[in-house]
Amino acid sequence: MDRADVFNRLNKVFREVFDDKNINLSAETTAKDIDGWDSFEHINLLVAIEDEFSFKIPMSKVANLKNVGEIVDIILELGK
Amino acid sequence: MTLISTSFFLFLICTLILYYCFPKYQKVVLLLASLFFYNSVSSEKIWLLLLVIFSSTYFSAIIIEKLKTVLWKRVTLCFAVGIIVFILFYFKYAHNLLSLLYSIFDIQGEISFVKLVSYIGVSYFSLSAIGYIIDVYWQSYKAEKNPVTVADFLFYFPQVISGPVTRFAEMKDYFRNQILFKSENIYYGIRRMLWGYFKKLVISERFAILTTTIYSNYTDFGAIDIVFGTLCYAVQLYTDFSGCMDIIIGASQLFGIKLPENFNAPFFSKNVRDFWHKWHITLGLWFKDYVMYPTQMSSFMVNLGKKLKNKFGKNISKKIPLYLSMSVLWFLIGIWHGGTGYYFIATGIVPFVLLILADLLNPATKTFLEKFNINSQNIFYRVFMSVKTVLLICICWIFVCSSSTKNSVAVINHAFHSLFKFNLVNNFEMFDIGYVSLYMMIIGLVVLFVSDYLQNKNSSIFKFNDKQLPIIKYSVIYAEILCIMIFGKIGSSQFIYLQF
Repeated sequence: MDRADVFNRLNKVFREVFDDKNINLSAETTAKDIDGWDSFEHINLLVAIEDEFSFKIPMSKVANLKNVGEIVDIILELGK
Repeated sequence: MTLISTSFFLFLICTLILYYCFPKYQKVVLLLASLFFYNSVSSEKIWLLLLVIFSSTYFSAIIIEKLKTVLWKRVTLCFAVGIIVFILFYFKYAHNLLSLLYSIFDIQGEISFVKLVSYIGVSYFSLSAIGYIIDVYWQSYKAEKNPVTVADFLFYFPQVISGPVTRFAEMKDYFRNQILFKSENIYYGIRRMLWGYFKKLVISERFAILTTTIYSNYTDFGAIDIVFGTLCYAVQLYTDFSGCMDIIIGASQLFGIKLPENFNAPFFSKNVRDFWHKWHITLGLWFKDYVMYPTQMSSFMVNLGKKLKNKFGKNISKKIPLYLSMSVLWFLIGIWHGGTGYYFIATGIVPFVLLILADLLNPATKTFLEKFNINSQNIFYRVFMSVKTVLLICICWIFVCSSSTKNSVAVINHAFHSLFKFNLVNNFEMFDIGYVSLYMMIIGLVVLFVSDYLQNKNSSIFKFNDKQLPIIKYSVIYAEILCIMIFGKIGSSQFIYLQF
């Protein structure tokens, strides 16, 4: 699984969670750039990512994810 | 010793002199000063309690790190957190919670087997301690080996009065490394403290008179007056609590230690949710990170969400686990505020209900804005939303102002029976305030408004003054001291959040 694959699959997850087909992620995308990505939806997003990539995101990372780039780093580090 | 006392200033000056004169022993000086401060502000002997909380925190973190199996790590975590939670509940909340349960279920009997003890600060440093242990369990960072660093982090004296609730990750460097004397730390620290004293002594104490008079004689007033009295409480509580924070953050800055901010112009919030992101920030973040997120990510909630998705669709599957997690969060925040019935309603139940309603009505609001082509960035709409938010939050404070659940019901009932009654002007002589006080309240409000407006724009009321020549900068400081000395209600009541 390379970085481009992760971005593709992550893009699908984001579109599904936020019901927005126009989402196009980049490493710099933050919660401010996506309508609906707030503290309420944050966990729903992470649970959907866990489902897609079949791994558990450590609680230490949950609150501190600053942008999509960091999510991708974690997926590459822990995902299979 | 209180934050508004000569003894506090003497204590602060002596500690500062020792702190900067013996830079190698800064951490020990801070710890001894903190212990001395605890002993001075607490009405009960606190040593054993501090020792138990420190030992549970320090040793459990090291043990968790050393253990190999997840099961034993979890057992140690539960044991250490259990001890701290037990202490917190037994000394701070058990008495009030049992009184509440006895009154709800109409049980007769004594509850003298638990007594309410005024251990100031316990509810703040307990949260910091629990957060530290959980972080080590989550492997966010390594356990601290130096006991003085951990003790300084837990018991650092400026934050003992009313927080903020600190995290080890953001504070560790201050308690590990030597801090050099910098004159700007002294200037910014004093400036911040003075701003806090101004808020508390010049503004808050005066608005307290209006609130107390209206709520003590609510039958003489109408619904509009009661709303006005509650708005006065909003100003009183905000200037009291944020003023206390300014003094604490300023005092800490004197030592070169930057504490996290607890307020960010809350009355400029665009909705109820935004308000709770700007009010008592560190407490909200703590409960979000250590209670709400872990609950929402637990296997139970995740599985519940999946089952609901199959039966009821995506929207319900998202909302139910979210609302359940939020209910846990607000239940605990309600208890954290003392466990008395009216505080539990004001700080737990009402905010929870308001947030759920706002979330449920959100799609309807969006549709309404689109249908009538209203721009949500329009200044009038933003002002309307801020006013609406403050009025909604005032529902919480009716319960606090009334001082008991029974009184709250009576006040609300009376308000509904006198909807258009306005007696504020007729009953003006009931308020024991002169014209000077009235002018000071208006000036104070204007200054507060400008300050918060600038803060909301990521600026500061002090920025302009800081750019001026030293003579002007220091003249403003002297003027502020004079203003507090002349117009401040010195020798008045304690800070509201001290009780928590």
